Amino acid sequence: MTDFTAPDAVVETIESVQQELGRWTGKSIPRKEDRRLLKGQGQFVDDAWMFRQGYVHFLRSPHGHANIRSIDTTKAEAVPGVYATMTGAEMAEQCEPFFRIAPDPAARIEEYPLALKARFQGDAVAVVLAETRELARDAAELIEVDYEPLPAVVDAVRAADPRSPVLHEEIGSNLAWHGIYDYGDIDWALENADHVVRIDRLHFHRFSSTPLECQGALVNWDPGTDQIEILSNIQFPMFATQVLGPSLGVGQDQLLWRYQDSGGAFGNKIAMYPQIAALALISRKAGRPAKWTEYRSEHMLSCGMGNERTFLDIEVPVMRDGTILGFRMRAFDDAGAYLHYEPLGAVIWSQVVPGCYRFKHVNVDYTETLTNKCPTVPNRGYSRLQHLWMIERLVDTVAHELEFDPVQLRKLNYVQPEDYPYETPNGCIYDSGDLPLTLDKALALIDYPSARERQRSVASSGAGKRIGIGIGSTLDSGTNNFGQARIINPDLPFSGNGEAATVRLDLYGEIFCTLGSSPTGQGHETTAAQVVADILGASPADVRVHAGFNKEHGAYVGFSGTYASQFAVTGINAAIGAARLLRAEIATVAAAALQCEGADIQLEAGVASYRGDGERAIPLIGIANLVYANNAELPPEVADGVSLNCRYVYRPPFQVPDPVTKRGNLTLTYAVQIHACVIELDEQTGQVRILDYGAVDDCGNRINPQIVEGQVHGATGLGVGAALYEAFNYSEAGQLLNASFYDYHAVTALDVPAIKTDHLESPSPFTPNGAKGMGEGGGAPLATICSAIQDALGPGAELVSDSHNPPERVWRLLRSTGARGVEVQTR
Amino acid sequence: MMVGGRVAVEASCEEMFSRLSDPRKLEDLVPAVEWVEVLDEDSFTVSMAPSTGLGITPLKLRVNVSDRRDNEGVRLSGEADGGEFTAAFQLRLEFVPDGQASQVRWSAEARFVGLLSSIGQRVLPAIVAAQVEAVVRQAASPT
Amino acid sequence: MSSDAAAIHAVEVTINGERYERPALARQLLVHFLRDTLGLRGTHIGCDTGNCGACTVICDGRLTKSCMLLAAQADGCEITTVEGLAPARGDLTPLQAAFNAEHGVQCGYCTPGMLMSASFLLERNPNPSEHEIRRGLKGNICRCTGYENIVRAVQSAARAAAAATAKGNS
Repeated sequence: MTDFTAPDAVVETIESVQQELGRWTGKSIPRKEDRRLLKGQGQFVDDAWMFRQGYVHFLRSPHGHANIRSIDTTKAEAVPGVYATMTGAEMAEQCEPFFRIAPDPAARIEEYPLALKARFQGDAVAVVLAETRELARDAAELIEVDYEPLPAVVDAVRAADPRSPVLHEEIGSNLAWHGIYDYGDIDWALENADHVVRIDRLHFHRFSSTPLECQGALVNWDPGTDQIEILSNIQFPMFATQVLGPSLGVGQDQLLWRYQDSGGAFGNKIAMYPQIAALALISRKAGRPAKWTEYRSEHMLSCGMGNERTFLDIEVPVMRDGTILGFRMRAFDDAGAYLHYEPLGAVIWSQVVPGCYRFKHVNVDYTETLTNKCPTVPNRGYSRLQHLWMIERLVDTVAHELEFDPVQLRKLNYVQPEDYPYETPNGCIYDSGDLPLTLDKALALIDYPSARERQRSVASSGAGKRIGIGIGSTLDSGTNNFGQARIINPDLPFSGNGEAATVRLDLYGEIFCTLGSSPTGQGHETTAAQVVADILGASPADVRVHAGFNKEHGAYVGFSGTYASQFAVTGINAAIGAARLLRAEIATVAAAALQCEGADIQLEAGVASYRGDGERAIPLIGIANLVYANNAELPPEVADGVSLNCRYVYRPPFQVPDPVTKRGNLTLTYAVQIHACVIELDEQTGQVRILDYGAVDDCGNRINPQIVEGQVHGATGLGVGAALYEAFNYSEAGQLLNASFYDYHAVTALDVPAIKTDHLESPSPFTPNGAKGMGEGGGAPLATICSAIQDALGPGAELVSDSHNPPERVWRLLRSTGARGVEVQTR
Repeated sequence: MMVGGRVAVEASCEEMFSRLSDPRKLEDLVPAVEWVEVLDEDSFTVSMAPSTGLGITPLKLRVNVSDRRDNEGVRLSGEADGGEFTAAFQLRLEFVPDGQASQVRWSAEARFVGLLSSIGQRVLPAIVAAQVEAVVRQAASPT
Repeated sequence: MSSDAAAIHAVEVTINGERYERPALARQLLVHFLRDTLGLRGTHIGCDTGNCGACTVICDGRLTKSCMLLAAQADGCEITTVEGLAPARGDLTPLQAAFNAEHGVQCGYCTPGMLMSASFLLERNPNPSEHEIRRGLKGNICRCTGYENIVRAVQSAARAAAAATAKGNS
């Protein structure tokens, strides 16, 4: 059993921090970063420019799978204005293969910045640096690649078959990872259950959030200093830097990462390191800065896509009263052609093994395979949304097949408010919440009773329409414990998590803060300013939070970046910690200046005073002056003890999980979203129209409620898109059929319904500020809409078994008379 | 991808057949040509460099006359290679007399590999149709 | 390389009230001319196919996706970009202020194009319904906000303008 009692010191901190926050924290103040963004003054990666820069174009494979017999770059190099070209072979001679997360056999895959064999359509095989982007593109077309096309495999289950084509010959199969997660006693549960519900297959489809700004980087390998300056919108720079240093043979201090604004990321911009490595090498070769801005089609082909997962042979033991005991299944995850961040997805889902439910007996036989498709990258709700969708389908199906009320069945099986902190079968600790109340609020938003009434009246009207009501949930597990990577590969040197921030007082009394995060729209400048202002008795307007990520700021740890729903915990508590350190230093200096004890110093509106006495006070500019420029005035023991440049690292209380039993506390916080919707289904066309949509979130103490609501809206919008409109489709030969916004229908304002929201605040007992990370609730709409379609189809219909339901699929479901994909065995 | 259509032309079936079944005449009908190499009476290679929104795409086209039925029809097959895509096609043309003039019925099956297939799903059928009909019309009234 | 693509045209445009005369390659898109040639980088690029609307500007009074127009085609045009809405160091326009107040901005990448479409809409329809707003913005893709707060921002700007007019009339 996991011992999870917070140390006394942490509890003390939690109580005192929450007392200090309150004047600005928790308020919906308008965002500080908006002004520049609204005026078109944001600094995005393509806005960056360097003297003598060249533009890069990657030549990408047209084939899903092909050997490269030869590459001839002669004609491209002869074009005036082309500075350099490089092939995969040339790059492989100049760097070491990238660090690998996977254990053997997949650890034997040697990957370099460019491919030596084409393994998916869009695999980069050569690169050109030229004077203009058009010239680079035209010159790339002149590179002659002699391909030997090979048969492709595009299905994760088929890829596991030994007869399938093998992508990486060096590992002898397409296996990226395999393991069995076994908790409780599923055999006992299946033998003793009153009913067993069996589902043949569920399929979670491939899509991505396709941030509106594509990837990009401007890289200069400076021949003089040997430093590599990297301006890039990469989302997790400190992961990339750990991969690139050893690969390029440079020290971490030589890699200078920086960016200001990023046009959305959603996980998709995490794995840009192969491209950045290629830019660095061609920059060194040409002696020029190398700039690359991804084209949209290039982004769709090769940036990365969310995990596609197939669940087979699902068995669900259910008791007569509706208690669901757990489930058994086989899962096949599709990693695509390379393991850029995978196979982490093979463990990340286990942060939420039982979803919102009190399942005790779980057995998952998990396989991740390599296929001739674009590599998988994290995508909002990374690896959990697939699993949570499956669980909601399973609960919904139990309700339908055994004729339970879908609301009552959920409430019966939910983790109950009195159960918190609740330990899941694999040792994760759900921190707080009230799921039945959250569901009630969601149902109130759509006026559930009158929706049911409407459903009956439309059904009897004979108008060719049907109403369906759906419920879905998502658990947004935030602040992950990197130790879970050891469940994938026990040799990985990662555990815990954390984030750094600095808060400083500058020469004339200015308060400024730097963060280790790399925000992509989450408003970090605003929320950090709110908490720092509270600690320092200032207003958020007085706190300048330096925008973006800059490794030279010094505010970083190995985990720094923006991903996995954690800034509200890691980043904010780092800022709080740094502000408290600075306040202590200010008090020390003020006490010396005012001849009193530090404990008597009050800090308010830019002035440090003796117990609020305006006559006995010193302004922040005076404090700064004493430390920076007037230190002979200070007693030496004070002057030597302060810097007014305070760095703090927040470290969540984690232990290393056990890779053998696959148990441990994998995540610190669990925010909840429960959604409910009403749809209208057209019997003639299969078209689904959303009539009403409600989303309720509970993410503990909210720092800025308006920003939280914005995240709920955004995640809902992407989820609705994925449920009804957005899917990446590949042909059997590995050709992506929709690599533009014409064919991949990114949802518009007309496709996303008006979204009603409500909230609860169940503070996390495990975080100093009671907050939980909450950006990744995108999974709920997929489950909610599937549930509503199933409801509209009615009793006896085929199972809604796919997460993507465009009109043609719904139309077929309406007319299906064959196998239903589900059966019930009752004792 | 399958597309097809019908074009009414002023030329006779005999004229259409002679122009569309002879590689030496066909070379004049293909747009944006840089050079043509006639390999034998059934096949030729065309190098072209059409300029598109994607840039200037050098393209090597290998065309083979795979079936001839005198004055009634002809079947062409071919392959094309560009930097980031390849294509293979079969084009069948049938000539039906209509007085002095004729009707050309055509059908094409094309398979694209690479970027073009990924971003051209909606526009490729129209582009192929326009290209085929342009060649047919050019054959009907060579300038 | 074919010669027509390499041809250079003299392009004269008025942008946000300022006149520019610059050479442009025949194949250069207006959006690249704005960003790379003139350094007006508030206008963004989000796709290659005219779907996303990040590059939206107002060209001779018409809402225009500047990636769908060649720079040479814009010769002689009068163009407004996001930089033309409010002075670089001055106050936000009421519409921009509404986006700030209603949290209609997250990453800010679609925002310039969204603002151009929204201001174009409000100019022609000062009191749009929710559906009219959604229709007016359907050419602009936003991946962050789910559109909800953008719609609210446009509604709020419309209400504020109506209130200001009413006050002016009374």
